[in-house]
Amino acid sequence: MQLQLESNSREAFDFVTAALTDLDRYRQLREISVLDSAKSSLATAISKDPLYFRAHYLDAIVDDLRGKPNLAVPTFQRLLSDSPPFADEVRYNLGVAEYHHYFHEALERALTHFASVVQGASDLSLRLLAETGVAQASAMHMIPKDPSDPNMAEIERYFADATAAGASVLRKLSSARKRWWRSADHSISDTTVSEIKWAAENARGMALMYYSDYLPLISTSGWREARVTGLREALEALQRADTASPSNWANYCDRASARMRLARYESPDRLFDEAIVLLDTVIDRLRPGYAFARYEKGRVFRLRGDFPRAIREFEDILSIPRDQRVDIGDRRLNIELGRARAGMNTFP
Amino acid sequence: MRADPIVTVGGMTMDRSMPPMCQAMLALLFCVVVWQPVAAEPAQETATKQWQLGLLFEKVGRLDEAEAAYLKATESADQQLRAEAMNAVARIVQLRADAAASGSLELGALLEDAGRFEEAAAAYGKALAHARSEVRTKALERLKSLAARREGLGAGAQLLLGDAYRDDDQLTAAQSAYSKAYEGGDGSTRVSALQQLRKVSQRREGTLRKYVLPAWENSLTAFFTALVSGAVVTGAFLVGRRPIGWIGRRRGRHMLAIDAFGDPGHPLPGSRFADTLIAVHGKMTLHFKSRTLRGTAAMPPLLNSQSADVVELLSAVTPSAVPLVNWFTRTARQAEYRISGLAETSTTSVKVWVSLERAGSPVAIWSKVYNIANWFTDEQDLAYEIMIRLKEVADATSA
Repeated sequence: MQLQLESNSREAFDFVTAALTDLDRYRQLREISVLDSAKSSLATAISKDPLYFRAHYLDAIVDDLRGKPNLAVPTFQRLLSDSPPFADEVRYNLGVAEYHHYFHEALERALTHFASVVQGASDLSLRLLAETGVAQASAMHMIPKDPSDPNMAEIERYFADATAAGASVLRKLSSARKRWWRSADHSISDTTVSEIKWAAENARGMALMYYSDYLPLISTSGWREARVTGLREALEALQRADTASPSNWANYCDRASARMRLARYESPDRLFDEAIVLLDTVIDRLRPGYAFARYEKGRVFRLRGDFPRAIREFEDILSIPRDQRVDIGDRRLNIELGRARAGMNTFP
Repeated sequence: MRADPIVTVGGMTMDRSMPPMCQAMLALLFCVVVWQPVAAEPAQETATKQWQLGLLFEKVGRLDEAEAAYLKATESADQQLRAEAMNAVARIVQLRADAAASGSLELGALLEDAGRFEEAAAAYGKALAHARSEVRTKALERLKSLAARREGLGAGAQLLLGDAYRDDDQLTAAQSAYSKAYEGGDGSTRVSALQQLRKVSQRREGTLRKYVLPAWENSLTAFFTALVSGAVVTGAFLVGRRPIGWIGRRRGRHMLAIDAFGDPGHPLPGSRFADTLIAVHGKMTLHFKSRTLRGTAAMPPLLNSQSADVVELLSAVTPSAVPLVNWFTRTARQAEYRISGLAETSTTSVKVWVSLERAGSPVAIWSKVYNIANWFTDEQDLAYEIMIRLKEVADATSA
């Protein structure tokens, strides 16, 4: 049965309004518990009007924000099949949910959705957000499935795509904001500007960070300095992302990851400690129990030689049911666990 | 030889026509009162006696002797006696003038009867010049009567008449009389008439300027002010109605106005349905507000009432401009969407009729009856239904 965009039930509408208010609060406070309240309100709204499109849509968005993109993707796909009036926006959110799976096939689906929105959306804000999605998904795709067998050509390609898309977005954003005449089609809210900036800078940071894992090749002259330079630039970009979107759990994880990588080349104790602080903030407050953050924390322990703690961390994560840790798969965990047990601090 | 009728006894002149007994008594009185050894009598007693003598003479009509006695009494050292004597002298003078005026009046009447109108007018004029109010009034009446009956009354008489009117502040009549005197007279009469005409004109102009012209000018000013104001307002309305209306519709694009549904002060359910609509509209505005991504268009905002504050402030300064400002504020901001209707409440039910309009044309109408017991919930549901319909119309329009 076709969903209806608006509900005839005032009560269902009120519950959705309450959920929207919670989402507004979440964007300000970044408290995961607020999303639980929104989830509850939306569940009630859907029970009062099962055909309420907007309730289902917001429910999927909340699932994705709560770290359950596997629940959000099928919902977004179902809603797209109803041809909603804002299909491009639904498609963009579907791309975000796919992106949050982080493995290559999902990232490629995300890139497809994002590219479709970039090409077809009439709203400038949406086009820019989708282009940042291209930058982030491309950067994430630079991580090889098998860290011991990287595809350098793909890494180079996705690095180029990520950096180009990020730079393009920031350029277009700057141009759009400089216009003194603002038509309704091209007005971008401050919230959206912050969202675009943080995503573009985060994508650049990630791309530089992942590039330094393998490139320049160690056979290249000056490779060490080039990687260090790249990592420092990554830290600067991620810091700018943090300014645009404070207390962002994803950016906190990336800031920790960049420090972890740079610690291999300089000031290891300080950088490792800073990485742990950032990751603990995510695990304790921003996204309680976030599996990927715990995974990164285990890697920090391994790289600084604290293998027992690393092993404990990896084993704890592996004990979490798979559907509750979508963003880190068993393969990666087992690789790291093996290295820790072998007393290896190799990277990547 | 006939005896002189006037007899003088001891310096006192007596009229032989007076009865002998009176003459004797007067002579005796004179001797007792006045004729006394000069060296032995004090000056104050003399003055007092003179005063008393004056009274006697005045009483019997012998004004000349009375005047003389009063004049001697004015030499008294007693200040009060001196003042009374002087007043008595003035009284004698007036009595003499009255006697003369009365005589002139009688003379004038005789002359008028004799057909000697110019002489009669002159006699009346003399009476006017010297008489007190009663005789003067009679003389003026007779002169006016003569002038009315005799068109060709002489310049001299007209001059006198003009003077009389002038003294009575009948300036228009005075001007008319002086004009006739000028036209009919010659020599000194014309000169006098012309002088008096100028004086009267100056007096009239002063009165005009003081009392008549200001009122006239104020009336003229008020009339022209009203005329100009009305022309400006009408012109502004005719010329400005369309462009202001166009601007108003443009400014009010995608905006909503909600009319009252009854008397908000009325306690019955239904009368505050507009407030419920506003509350639901607020909730929906929050729901549909622009976030990172828009979804659909935002809720049409309510046309606020800032203009009411402007009108209220203006009314304290220029109350007459309030109607024009009200029209301007209404025309300069016309909401694209409007919700209006009415609510009727009985003891058991609430009937509601609601119209949703866009650009003046209805797009949806509700006509419902609710059980009054459930009105609190039902009015919110109805308000929501209306606002959702509004959202659908607004989205379709935006698309």
